[in-house]
Amino acid sequence: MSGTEALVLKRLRKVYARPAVDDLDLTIHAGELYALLGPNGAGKTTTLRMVAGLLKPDSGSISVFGVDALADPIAAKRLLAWLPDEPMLYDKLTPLEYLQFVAGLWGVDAKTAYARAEELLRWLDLWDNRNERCEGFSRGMKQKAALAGALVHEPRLLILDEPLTGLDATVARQVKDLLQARVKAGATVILTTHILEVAERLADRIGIIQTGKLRAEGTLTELRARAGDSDGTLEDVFLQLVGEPT
Amino acid sequence: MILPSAPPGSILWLLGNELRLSFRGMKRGGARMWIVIGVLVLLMLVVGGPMAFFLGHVTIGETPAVIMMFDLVLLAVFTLILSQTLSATVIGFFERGDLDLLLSSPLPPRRILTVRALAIAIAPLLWFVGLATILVIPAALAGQFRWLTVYPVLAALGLLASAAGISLAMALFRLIGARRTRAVGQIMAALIGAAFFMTGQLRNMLPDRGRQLFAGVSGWADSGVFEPSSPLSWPARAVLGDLVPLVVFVGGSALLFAAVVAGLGRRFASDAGLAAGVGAGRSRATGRKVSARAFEGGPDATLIRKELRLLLRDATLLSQVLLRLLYVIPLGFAVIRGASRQQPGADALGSAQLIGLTVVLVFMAGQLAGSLAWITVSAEDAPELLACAPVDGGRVRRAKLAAAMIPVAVLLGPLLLVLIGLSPWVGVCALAGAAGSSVSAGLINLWFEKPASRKTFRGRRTGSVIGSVIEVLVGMGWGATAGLASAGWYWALAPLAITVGLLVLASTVANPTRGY
Repeated sequence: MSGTEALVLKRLRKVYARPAVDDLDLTIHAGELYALLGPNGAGKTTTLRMVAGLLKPDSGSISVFGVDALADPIAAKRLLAWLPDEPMLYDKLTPLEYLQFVAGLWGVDAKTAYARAEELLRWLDLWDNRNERCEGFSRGMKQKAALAGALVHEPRLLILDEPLTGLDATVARQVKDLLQARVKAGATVILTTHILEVAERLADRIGIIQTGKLRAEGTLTELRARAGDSDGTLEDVFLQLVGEPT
Repeated sequence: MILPSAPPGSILWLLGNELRLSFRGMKRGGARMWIVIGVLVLLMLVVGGPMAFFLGHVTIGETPAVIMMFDLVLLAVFTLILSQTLSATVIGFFERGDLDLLLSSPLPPRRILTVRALAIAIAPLLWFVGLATILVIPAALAGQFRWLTVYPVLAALGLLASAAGISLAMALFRLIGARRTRAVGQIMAALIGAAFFMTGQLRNMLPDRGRQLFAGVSGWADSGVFEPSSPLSWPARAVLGDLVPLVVFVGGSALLFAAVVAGLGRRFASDAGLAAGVGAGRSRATGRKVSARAFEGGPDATLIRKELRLLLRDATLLSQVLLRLLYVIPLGFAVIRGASRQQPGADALGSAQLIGLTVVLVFMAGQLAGSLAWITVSAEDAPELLACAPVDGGRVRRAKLAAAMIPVAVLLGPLLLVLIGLSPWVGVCALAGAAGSSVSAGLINLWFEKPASRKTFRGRRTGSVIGSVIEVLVGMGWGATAGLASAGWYWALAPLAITVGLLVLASTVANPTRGY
């Protein structure tokens, strides 16, 4: 069964001064766009960083498309891309050189990589800037270059942490369109965001995490039913479920 | 809190804040400061005391030769301080994020520049004040109070160097624009810093071993320009304790400093604004188009290519790394001259000179490789990208190490080849030593890896003091090994054994913080 799931977390745990992620169980189906919501310090980023292989969990298991990410991290990493809110870029490289570098790390063959790089840069309106160094780019351009890097190796699982932070409406729209297109093409997307309207409009399912545990999960309709607020916005539902006054 | 009683917004209050920021590292490491003070006191006792005793028993007359010597020392100190003030000005414009805050406050830009200029003058002075103290305090304690004038003279040099550094940086702004000033200013600072050493080595570089030039300088010195009545004698006489030259030199420096600050105050605000806009502006094209072929190559080639690109494109960083090579240039000239003169069967270069060159080359290879390895290994811009890539961390680090070795081979390779041509045995010893020294320095940087920003390159040695000390000792060890081996002495095995022991120790005590 786990082979058909994009991500399965079982009793995942990470403790700093207090538990950041507390025996978390989470299953994300292949081909869905899943929004992970939660208040500041709820454990969203810690969870995703463990999935991306950037943090070692204290206990529990992580399975990415059936690959045990703790036993075989290289195989798991081959399937996913991680895009944090701060773009992982090199200021002194151009976007095309950056994509060349990322494609090389993921072992994409040269012809395919170049074709994908061109397609992505054109889609994200960066083709005309392909030979300019990223150091002079605006935040939006940097975020788009980083997104292109995350997509150049066609990950089956794309993990984004606050991907829309600091972006203007035009760039945010481009990013959202690109994510939806990826999901349509069969990829799985997990994103965290504090912009609840984004989760409401894009996500197939929403998970609400608090103090390292999954408090609620489901479609918006299911969450509304659980909160007993059939007409509420996601913001109302979210605040009710995390116990904040609405 | 420094100067707590100064009124907020005043020059003293702002200066307190500047100095607090400059010496934040020292304040945090209280133990380190006590160690520095301890070493200083020890040097005063061991070195300063005997020197003060000696000076107390000789008469230093104000002859042209003595005045010229003191003037040259002051000029050397000035160039070294100027190198630092120019660098600090450029860094202050581009890398200190507080200028926007200061310039958006209701304080006059001239006051902000005054404080910045004073802070720029004070920071590099501390080293020279520390060095001078080793001699001056024991001398003063022995009753030779005239040496206390070293302090006001140093302060005057600091003010002059600060005014010159700021003027130079702002002139560069006007001439070549904000973007280029960053790199050119740093390179100029490096060249100015090395200028005195290079001048001292002219003998090795000029075709006639500098005979004509030195004859000209000697003639100039004898022409009376360093007579006590000449204005050129005043800085030296100020150090020697003459009151009038002291007052004129210090007062004149302070006046010049004030004039520069007053003259450049308004322009300072606009230049700082331009510098801040450099990062936000549209970048220029690299001029090189990336084709589909450029995408070829596996992770190793990709990593090495990326590291070399980043190294070559950071002119500021590269200038700081390559500064060390300036010190090899005179030796290189000596070798090339030796090679051109060498006749079949004759040994134009003395064996001692060749062995000396071997030692320096081997040590330099380690220093270069260590700096480059720090940049490629510790100063990774996107460690998370590498950490989440499907490439083993060890493989990434090996590729980064290889990338650090390539520039060393390119830069020192030709000199090593010339050396092999001159004396195959010495050349092979130098080559083996340079390889050992480079690889060792690279490995030490791997073992003591600690994620850092490229901007902190100058302070990289504070990342791991043990690692840095071992790196220098290992470089010296390889140098000694290669030097002794090239002389055909079995004693080479002794430094080799110590070097290997140090490497084993380093690998044992190292506790790297891996960023990827």
